[in-house]
Amino acid sequence: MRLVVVAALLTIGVGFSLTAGLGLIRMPDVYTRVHSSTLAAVLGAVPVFLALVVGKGPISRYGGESLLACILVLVFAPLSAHALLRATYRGRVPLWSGAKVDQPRDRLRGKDSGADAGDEPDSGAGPEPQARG
Amino acid sequence: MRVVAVATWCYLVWVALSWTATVEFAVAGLLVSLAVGLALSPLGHLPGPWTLLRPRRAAAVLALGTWVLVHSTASSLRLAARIWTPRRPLASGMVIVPTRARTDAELAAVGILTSLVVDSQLVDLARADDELQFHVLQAPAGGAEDARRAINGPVERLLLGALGRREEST
Repeated sequence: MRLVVVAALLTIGVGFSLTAGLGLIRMPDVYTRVHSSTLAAVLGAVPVFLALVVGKGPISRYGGESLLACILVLVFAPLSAHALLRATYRGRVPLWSGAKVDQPRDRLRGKDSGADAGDEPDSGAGPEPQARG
Repeated sequence: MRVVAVATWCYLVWVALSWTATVEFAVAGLLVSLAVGLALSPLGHLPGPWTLLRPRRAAAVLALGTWVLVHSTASSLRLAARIWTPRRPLASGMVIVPTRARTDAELAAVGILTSLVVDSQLVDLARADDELQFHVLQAPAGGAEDARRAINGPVERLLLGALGRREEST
């Protein structure tokens, strides 16, 4: 029974890792591809760690180390995704043509056009990655 | 008290990593943990692991963990379905949402937990304006407050509850 659970968890983990890899190819721009990389961490790596815990027992050296590895993956995957996305956006890499909204850019354009027309500058400026540096 | 809190967390990590029940490992872990506690305690307040024993806080942390687990799994399955069937519409975009997180720890926790729900990834923040910038796979309809309710609102409510801070009304 334990072997069946381990095999199922490994299959789930490998399956989602494969899906995340496919997502890196199929997604239309770098921003959406980063979502796939987080998918690899959440449903790709965690089931593999759980398989190790189930296979070797939760109260064991493997159980403790798997738990720590799991926490590290779940913390550092979003952190690395954030660093990558922030650098990409500040590097002015455009969203794909089908993107529905780019509020920071729209806000920046609104400010620019307001300044051109002699209006008061928008006091509620939010994150403007293109303008910062 | 800060030193004790940091040292206790460190000692738990030491036990999980070493997993060796000998006096040498126990004493070495204690000394290393105390050194780490002394070195890192000036960085700021850290709740000790014993605070999780308070029923109210334990329930709040459990509720937060359950919410993240459920929504993270659901959003991962949605993304996997989208990858395998590319004909599904993709309404991605960059959105700005207000946040009620104020401290460094709250902002970091909100950023990590909302990004674990793979529909939304934190891109940037503007502390002066209490705003977060997310890249989302499904841009929410409505205004900024609607977007907050859809993206970071539930995590913030549960997180601030777990930290024992009430949300400020905006």
